[in-house]
Amino acid sequence: MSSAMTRPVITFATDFGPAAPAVCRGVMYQIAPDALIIDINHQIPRFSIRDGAATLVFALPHMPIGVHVAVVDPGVGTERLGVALEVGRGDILVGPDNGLLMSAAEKLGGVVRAHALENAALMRPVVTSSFHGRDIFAPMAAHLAMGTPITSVGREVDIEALVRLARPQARIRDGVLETEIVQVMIYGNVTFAGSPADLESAIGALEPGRQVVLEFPAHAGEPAITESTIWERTFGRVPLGASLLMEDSEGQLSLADNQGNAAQRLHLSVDRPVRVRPA
Amino acid sequence: MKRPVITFLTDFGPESAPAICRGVMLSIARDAQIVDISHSVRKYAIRDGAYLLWTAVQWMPVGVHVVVVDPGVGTDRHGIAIRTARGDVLVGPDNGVLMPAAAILGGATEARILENRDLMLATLTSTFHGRDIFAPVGAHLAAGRPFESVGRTIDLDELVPLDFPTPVVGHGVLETTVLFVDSFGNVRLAGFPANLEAAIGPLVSGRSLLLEFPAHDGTAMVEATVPWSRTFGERPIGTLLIYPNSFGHLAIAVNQGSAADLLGVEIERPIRIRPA
Repeated sequence: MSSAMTRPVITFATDFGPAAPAVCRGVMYQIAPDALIIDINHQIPRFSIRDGAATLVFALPHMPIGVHVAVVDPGVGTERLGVALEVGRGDILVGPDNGLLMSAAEKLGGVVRAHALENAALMRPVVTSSFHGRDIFAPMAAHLAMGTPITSVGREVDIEALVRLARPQARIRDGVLETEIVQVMIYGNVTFAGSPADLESAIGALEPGRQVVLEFPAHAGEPAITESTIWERTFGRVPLGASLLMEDSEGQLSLADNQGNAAQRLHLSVDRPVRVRPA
Repeated sequence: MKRPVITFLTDFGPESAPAICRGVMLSIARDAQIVDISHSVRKYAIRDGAYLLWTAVQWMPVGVHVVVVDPGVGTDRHGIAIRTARGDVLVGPDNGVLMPAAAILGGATEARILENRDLMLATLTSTFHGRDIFAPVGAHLAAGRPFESVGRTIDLDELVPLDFPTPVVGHGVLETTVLFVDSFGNVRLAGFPANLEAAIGPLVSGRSLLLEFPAHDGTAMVEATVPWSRTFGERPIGTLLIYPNSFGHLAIAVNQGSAADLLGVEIERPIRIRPA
């Protein structure tokens, strides 16, 4: 992957917060001094494999082809494997085998081979039980970025045996789409499982300005809410502070407030069910 | 070979959106040196973005400056590129955010509308033009595509203006406005020490000045007597001072505290300064 002319790319996403990522970057630069390291995000909600997976799906298709290290690893030090996944586009994804990498791998052309991270020569000399980002994933990734073949990291593992996250699906009913919140974005925009096509199958054609109703049943101590809103193309099509249902930049259904924070206003969080129906 | 410089300023916050744009830029201009100015601009605050760019860009190498504070994304507002007399190119939405920076870089010499689809990502969304349009167009320009290739020209007069308030020098009083409040709580004002001296005479360290923030937007008048100072540590911890900040502008601070919190003032608040 490395050549004399091109700096190898390593992208890096974790739930580490402010300081630990630099330690890992130090480890990577010791092995690959010319690497171009792109920090995607180190503020993934702690231990949330699902948020980490969503972050990678959102980001990796726009990164240069390279090695992508991701660490959201509540199972660090247990028997869960560390893996390197080669994908159709030519990238290698490195991280724990807990489902974190799989959705992004599919976006990049699917896993073509998977290897367990076992070769101690490619790790830090001392491997702790609690910081595999530093001791295993960072050095492995840097070696791969420098051109070490994926076959040398450890034994090949069956692609079918890799851990996958259950993916919430929208359910198309007669006149209603039943779905759930899969992500809350930084502006407070709330992403639902399902696409505009799913919603159209349930409630008919979506024209800009069409009124729709979102029903959030009572959930985890929060009372039931009904939100009347309209289908629109983008934020600036509705008045300041008003809400809209739209297709987000990833092609998913999303509820947003124009220059506001819909998640805060309605006390919405991930996993909350929602029913979308015509007004 | 010299690495092209791209600077990058947004209200995207700490999550992955800025990195995604960097990925897009580096996929096009692998050798680019990307300087992140800030991604913590107050959300949707075009004036804050314009202020931060205006104060930062003069310290940046000549290059391409990509700015995204864009509450009108996906509406009919244009995306634009502005060429400046210094040789920079500013890329962002036509909502005024680029204009003060263009002025401080010697003035805009030419502006074009971003419409060449070949310089954008293949799929355009209505809500993430930072990724789909501004980052790739900025990177193509940094990689050497000619300025003319982005789209047709637009009259400089037709660009959405953004003018910061300017101080009014009166007899014995300077009337001005809060331009920005930074993360230390320092209150940055429109105007320079020279403007204040024109109004009230020479400024020497320790000279006592009266600050009056007239009642505004439902908040009561605020007054404080404050010494003219060279720097924070000249005054006791927790006390106010007025000083020329590192950009040469008038500013009010509390030594190791927040002047904005202490005075209860925000951006755009009018202020009068007179001798105490």
